[in-house]
Amino acid sequence: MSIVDPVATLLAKLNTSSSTIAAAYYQGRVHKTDENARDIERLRQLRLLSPDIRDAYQLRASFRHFLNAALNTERLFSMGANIGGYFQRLANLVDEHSIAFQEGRDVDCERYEVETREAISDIADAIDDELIILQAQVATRFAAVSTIAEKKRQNLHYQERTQQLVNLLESFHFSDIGDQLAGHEELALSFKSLLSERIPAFRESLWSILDLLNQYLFEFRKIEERAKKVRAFALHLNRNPDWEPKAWDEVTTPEDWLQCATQIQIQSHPDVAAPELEELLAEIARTIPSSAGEKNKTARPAGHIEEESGNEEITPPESPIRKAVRFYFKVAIKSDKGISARDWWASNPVILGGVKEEIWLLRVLAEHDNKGKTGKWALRLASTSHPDFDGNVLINDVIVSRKPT
Amino acid sequence: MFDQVATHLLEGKFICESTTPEAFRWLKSDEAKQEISTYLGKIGRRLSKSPNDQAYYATWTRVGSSERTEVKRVFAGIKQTIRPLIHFITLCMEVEKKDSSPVSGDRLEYAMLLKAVTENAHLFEVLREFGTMGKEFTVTDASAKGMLDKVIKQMEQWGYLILINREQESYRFTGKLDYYYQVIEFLMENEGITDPSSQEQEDGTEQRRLI
Repeated sequence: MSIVDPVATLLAKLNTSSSTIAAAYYQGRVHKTDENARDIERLRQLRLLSPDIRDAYQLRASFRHFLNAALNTERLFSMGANIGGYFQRLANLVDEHSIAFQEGRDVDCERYEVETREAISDIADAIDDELIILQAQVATRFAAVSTIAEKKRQNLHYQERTQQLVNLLESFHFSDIGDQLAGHEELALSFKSLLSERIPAFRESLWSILDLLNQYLFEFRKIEERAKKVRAFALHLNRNPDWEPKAWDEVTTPEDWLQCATQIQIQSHPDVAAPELEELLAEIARTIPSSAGEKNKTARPAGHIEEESGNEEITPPESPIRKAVRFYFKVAIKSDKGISARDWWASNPVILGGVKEEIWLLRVLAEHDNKGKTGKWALRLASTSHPDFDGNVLINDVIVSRKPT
Repeated sequence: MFDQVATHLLEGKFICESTTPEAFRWLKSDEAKQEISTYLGKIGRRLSKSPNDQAYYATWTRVGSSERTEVKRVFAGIKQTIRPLIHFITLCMEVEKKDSSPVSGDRLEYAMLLKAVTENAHLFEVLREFGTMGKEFTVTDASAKGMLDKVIKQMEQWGYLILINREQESYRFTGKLDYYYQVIEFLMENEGITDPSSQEQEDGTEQRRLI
């Protein structure tokens, strides 16, 4: 299996689009043509190009910064690492452009125009990138760090970062910049379509991220609280090996978690009389082997007497219900008050396995019928007369106790 | 989807994202809840959910004398599982060096667990303690693997873990864990079980106040 190196793959892709990248870098933007359409799509997919105005594309801020650094290109008002710096740079560029324009310095004016356009796109890209980073962090719930304490710190950090960005977007005077650029069609259009019109959407996204971060902080606190409880409970169990919960099953209204309804075993059978099932049933029938397989029967040769018996006596294991009956009577004959068979059934599900309650009661009664005369127990019935059939009783429970001496 | 959800609930199963994702997502809508509740109501049952909405299960509409036996059976089951389950959760937390307890949907890698209990004597001792917690954990093979297999199998049988990848032996915690945390919370609140660390903090404050 070949090992794919993502860096090598990316650089190979960039190499195939090198002329388009160079054009976009030196000219500030590149227009889509039949020749470069594939390059542009590829570079957009790699998030290295972003749309400019009038069907043009420009290098994304991060890629341009990389090329600037690699080619040691000097920038005007070199910016800081934060978006606030980008905003400040834009304001400075607009001011300087305005002065150069008023003083009639055309060459400088042109240079400031290029830089201002880039600064506008830098801000839009930076906010876009910031949103992507924040959304990724929020979506994975800070999966890169494992402990809740770290997650909480990460959460607080991003909360602060998002809040700062929101404040920045709310406090920056976009209208001033818009007014200053009003006389320059190209720049005004860039500013409007790339930045000022997108600000409400940016703000909305940031607010929803902030809401999520607040919610996560609450959840992290809850998770931390639960972990503390689990540890405290584990410690309590370790320190008190004989601890058992109180009889919460005997309170008048048991808690919701105690009221789980009885499991119902659901079995369904095909309707063999239904004609639409005939084909399916026939198919199943065809998969069943026609004979149960050959039996190897070894017959005793005539005139030969076998001295060894071929049959080995196998003692079957004690059935779970038999075992349960034995345990129940063993405990019950030690009790003077007696033990209810139904209560014993309810509190010993492990011993009884899946034996149903009514079967269990019948089995206890059968044991008494068979061995009651010689046994050391007394059996009492909790019963009521049948409302319709005279002479019959409805047995609700059976109580077995020590036989009085 | 209705028949699948109704059957699961009647069979006493917990419906959660880990065990039956489609059914769980379907049941999240108000219409589905209403449909299921109406059906269950006709047979003396209702739809309940765990506190953090991570699992749905069926409960009685009212607890009369005949339901009381079932309540006792449920409580007996909780008493039987409470120690081993908390022991297992703390073991997982120690192995993963996490300060959070597992929740529904969290993955559990068998290989990582086995490596930890094999290489760390303390964790092996924690695993060995399962042997004192009932016959469900009795093993003939006393190796770390033998014991861990038994524990994992039991947790799966009780419905707290589900195997998601047989080849990689990956498991996922189920929504039933949320139900279990609810039980712990109730018992702590109502049986006066306190967090010793907060108690120690309180004692410290009290001492400082007296000084």
